[in-house]
Amino acid sequence: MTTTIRGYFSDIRRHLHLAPSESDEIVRELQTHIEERAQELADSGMSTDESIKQAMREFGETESVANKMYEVHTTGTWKRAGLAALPHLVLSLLFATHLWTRPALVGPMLGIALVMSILGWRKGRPLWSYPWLGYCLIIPLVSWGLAMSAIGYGAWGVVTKGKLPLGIPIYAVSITYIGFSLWVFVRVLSRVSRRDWVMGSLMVLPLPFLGFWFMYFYGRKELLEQTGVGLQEFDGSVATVFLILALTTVAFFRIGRRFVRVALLAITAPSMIVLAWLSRESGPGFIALFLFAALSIVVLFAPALFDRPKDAKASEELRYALPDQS
Amino acid sequence: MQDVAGVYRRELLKGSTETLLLSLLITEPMYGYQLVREMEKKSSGYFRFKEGTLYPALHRLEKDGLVNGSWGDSPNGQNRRYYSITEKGHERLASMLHEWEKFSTAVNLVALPGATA
Repeated sequence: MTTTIRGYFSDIRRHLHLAPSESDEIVRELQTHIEERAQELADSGMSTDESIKQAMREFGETESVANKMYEVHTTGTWKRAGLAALPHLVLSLLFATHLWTRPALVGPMLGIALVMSILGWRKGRPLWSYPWLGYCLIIPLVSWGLAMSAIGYGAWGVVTKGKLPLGIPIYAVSITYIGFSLWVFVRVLSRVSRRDWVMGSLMVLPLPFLGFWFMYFYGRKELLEQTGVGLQEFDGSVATVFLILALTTVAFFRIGRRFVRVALLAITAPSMIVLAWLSRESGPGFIALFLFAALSIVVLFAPALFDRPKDAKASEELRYALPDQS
Repeated sequence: MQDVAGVYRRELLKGSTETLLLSLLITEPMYGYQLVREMEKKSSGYFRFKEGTLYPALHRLEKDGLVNGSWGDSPNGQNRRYYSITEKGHERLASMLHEWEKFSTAVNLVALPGATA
């Protein structure tokens, strides 16, 4: 295979955003087609180099070809879209019925999410498993928050009283756990995003809203001391937000076009924060709204940092191969 | 000036890709390049699949369970991905052809009344 044709397929592979085994098979199939066409052109008298370039020109632009294949391979059936949206729907129901405060229900739900994620991960990470995996990331994030609180509490004790309020082993464990939980979070996010950062964005979509929701209660500590009514005043809005998340996920899976998916996520992420902010009775002010809406966009696009680096050499070869398509 | 006939032909082909592909696969399993060639041959050059459209269409048919794709060797020894029509594909094709017959008859009755009289 010449370097020119290698660059062409390298570019297709880069734009496919599919599992390596799936990309390999597609590229292999397209390659056999182009090679056969190039051979036919060469047999009719064209030079080898020109016949390859002509075959690639006929095949079309790499990004366009890859996008169409991506659309076919990532558009989910209604059943899979429903499976992907299920964790959001369950949470919506838990909030709508005010049952989310019962650990006997929430614990098993988190356990189910964990089992579904592990099953999905072991089966080559099917697309429906990403929203489930997103909720599992709450575990390292919350642990990270708790460990940070313990460290902060310790530092405050040293500053104000000159001694650590808790034993040194607790701080040693906390510091270790901060590193470990962050490593788990970044590792999972990078593994998902390296294949397709848009899937990484879908996975972390609920996290900014959950952060906002936590801040709402943190700002109104008196609610945490109450049982029942106080904790439930925000439930209608939260149920609506999770319902929106479920609908967004279904639309995401049914619409294969990548740019539409990105637009859908970019609209949904800050909208959830705005909706929750508008329906609050008190709590976070306008600055918090702005900060969380901005954070939701940053979190949404952060997975793009883990996307596979562009192959500059391949693109250069491609420009050489397709001079009239730049 | 825009080639109106060409645009119309492309639109018709776009709407009939599935039917045409399944029809070609009725006779024997074929690989992508073979399908392009067969299509041109059987339509006397009228239809020509754009490769960038053909493969997404084939993969969609496979995803829908209308065709099966598997690797095999061509008569000249080269490894190709062959597509064969499934039972579900046969049923879908029969239904599409039945609908096409009714549709084309209706179009002729309206647009070419003299020809169908």
